[in-house]
Amino acid sequence: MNPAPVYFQLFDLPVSVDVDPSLLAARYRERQQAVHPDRHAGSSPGERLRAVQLSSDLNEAYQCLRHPLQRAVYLLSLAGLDAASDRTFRQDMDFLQQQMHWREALADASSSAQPQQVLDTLFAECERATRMTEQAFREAYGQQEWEAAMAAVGRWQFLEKFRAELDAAEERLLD
Amino acid sequence: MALLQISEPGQTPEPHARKRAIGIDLGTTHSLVATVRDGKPVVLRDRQDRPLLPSAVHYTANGVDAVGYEALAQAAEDPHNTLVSVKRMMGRGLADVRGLGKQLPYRFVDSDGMPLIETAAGPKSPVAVSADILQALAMRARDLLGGAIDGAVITVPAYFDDAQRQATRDAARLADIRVMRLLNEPTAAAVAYGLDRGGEGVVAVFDLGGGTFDVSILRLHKGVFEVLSTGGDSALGGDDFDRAVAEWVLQQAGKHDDLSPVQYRSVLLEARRARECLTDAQQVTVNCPSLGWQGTLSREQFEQLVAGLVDKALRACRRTLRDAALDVAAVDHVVMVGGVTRTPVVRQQVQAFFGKPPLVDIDPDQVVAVGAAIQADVLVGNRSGDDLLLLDVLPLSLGIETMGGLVEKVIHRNTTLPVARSQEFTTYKDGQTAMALHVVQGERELVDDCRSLARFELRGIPPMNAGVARIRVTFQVDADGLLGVTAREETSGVESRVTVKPSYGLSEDQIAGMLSDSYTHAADDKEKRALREQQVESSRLLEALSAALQQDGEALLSAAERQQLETAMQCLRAAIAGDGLPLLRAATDALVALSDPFAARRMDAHIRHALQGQSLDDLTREKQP
Repeated sequence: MNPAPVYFQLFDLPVSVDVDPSLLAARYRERQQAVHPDRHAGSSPGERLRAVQLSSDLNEAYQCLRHPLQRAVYLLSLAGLDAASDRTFRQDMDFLQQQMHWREALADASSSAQPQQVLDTLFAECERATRMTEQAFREAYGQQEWEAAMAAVGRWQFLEKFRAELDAAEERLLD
Repeated sequence: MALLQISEPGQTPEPHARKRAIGIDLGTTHSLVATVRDGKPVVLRDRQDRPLLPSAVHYTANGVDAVGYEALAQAAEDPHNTLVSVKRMMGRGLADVRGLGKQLPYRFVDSDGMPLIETAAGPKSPVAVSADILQALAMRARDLLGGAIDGAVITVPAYFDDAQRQATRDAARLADIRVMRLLNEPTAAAVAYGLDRGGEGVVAVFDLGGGTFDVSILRLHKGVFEVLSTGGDSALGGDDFDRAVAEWVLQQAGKHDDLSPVQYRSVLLEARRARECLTDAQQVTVNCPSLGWQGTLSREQFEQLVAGLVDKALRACRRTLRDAALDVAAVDHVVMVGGVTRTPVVRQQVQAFFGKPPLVDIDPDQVVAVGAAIQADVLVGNRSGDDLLLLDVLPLSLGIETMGGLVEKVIHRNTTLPVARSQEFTTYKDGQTAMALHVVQGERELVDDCRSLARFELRGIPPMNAGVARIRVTFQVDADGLLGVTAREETSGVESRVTVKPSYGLSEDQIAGMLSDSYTHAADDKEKRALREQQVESSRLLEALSAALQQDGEALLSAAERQQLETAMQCLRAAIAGDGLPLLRAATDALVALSDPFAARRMDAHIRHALQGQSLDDLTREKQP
């Protein structure tokens, strides 16, 4: 049996690829107002302990749902698929080649005459690819094409990591 | 029969029922205490009408001789016995503190890797010195508020790690102060401004204190302060500005490392005076008789000396904004905290960076204590109708040591608190019944580059073949940013016993020892104090439970359950009146155990209310693996 969609239930939201960020944030704040340990500072030790647990659960669910990639991984887990550790899906060759191209460009950026321009281009390409991947996931998930959905999440995970590397490279450039 | 008073939820029943709550800013160079009076936060002043208490303690053979200005006055003459800037040593090992080198002219004694400072009153730990400062502040508050303090909020730099936070809590315990919450300084500052203005939007708090630099990005929405990211530099502050000036003086005077601690201290004091003068003046005469040197320092020269330091702070701002995934233009308000932000070059650079003038209308030395007082007032229950809620984050990632001295991160920095994460481990030998975990805090990959927090030993694992046991270790960080660890073997359901050996903290025994040391008749008073602490704790439990019963007893308990609870409460009341500690502990434990199911039902009712009728049991039991 697949697990219940607890994270969505906690915020009284429908199970979906798309979540309205401001509605999610509003529900999160409302629920934290009720359970946060600071709301129970004068209560008995048992109540305080329970408050810490409930508040932690809310934080975990909120962090997961508000990040599109984490949300996608969670949606797959609800379908019994483990995208976080399952790396057996097949990468398509085009994307692998694209990855190599990007990594080379990033490695050469620091020695280029206009490093910031190189980075800006890479940022834009990464952003565009992320949006396309998100859309691919949305469609695959909607059709319950799990293999395609897993592959999209695999690409998405690469893009997120690459984006962090770009951030780090820009950081070094600015320092 | 007396009529029961039932008050509207969220309203204080009677003015006299208001509790005495204080906010304490325990700073590197100075400390403050504030409270909320008639709905307005006020900083409590000393008899000379001074709001600040210098964080300095002077010791003589008789013990504490003076705290604050009177202590500071001894600094030049008796530097070894006048302890300042101990906040920099909180939760630190001897090796870290030695790195502070000649900045602090103290003689350190090694106590198991922990630094103690040799004084005329004997060796003092940074925690004990902080406790003396806290005690002076609490005394001021007691005198001015006319009675015992019900609870305090103490602020810490957002960048403080677990050991530094724990050390702060230990100091409060030594000073006999009930801490309701440790609050991050930048968050406190945002509260001071936010509530004042009913503000909404994104706030950047730029907090340049005596010894540390913090920057936090918060989002304010309908009373909820959500910290998005926090960063900074735990070794950047006004002291570094002074040192830059002092080094310049030494260079100009042609003096180098052969200075005595007394000489160096006097140069530092003069450097500080010069820096403060340059806030208004264009140039200042620097006079160091101990070096036989006098000269002039212009504001322009000074700004060159500290340019690198200001730049370092702005780089941290940029990183922190990036962590919050926000552009500089998204920041609606910039709040300035700490005396050093009065320095014109700091204000100019901050304004240039954020593209808007920073808010400075609350005194930057007082704004943190003001925010802490507001939060203390909420937590003690004086204004529960308020929507004020602070959601803070973990400042530094928590990880565990794995094979080869590498760190595996368990909870990443900037995760909203409280947070719980579980990790599964297994045994590698047949019949293994214990295992050790080394928990570290920091962002680096290698254990040696992170701060060692504690070693946890799990015992009582049922003997099984290697690799069969599934030990689920849960790391829980509470709202104070303090870590707790629990462990459980999943196949048998056996709870493992967790013992903690803090790397740079005080063990329970050491604290008990220090508590008894602070009294002349050690053994007897130690008992009395333990009894008194337990009496206070038990009374608090009774109070909380009575309130809970009055509210929800009818709805959530059967008549028999309620009868049972009330009998146990009666027993505890009798035990509090007596003077037997073991009996009191037993009665307390019994009541806690008996009231736990009631507590769980109450919390569930709370969240069910917030969840609009869903069954909480369904939600938590089926939680994701």
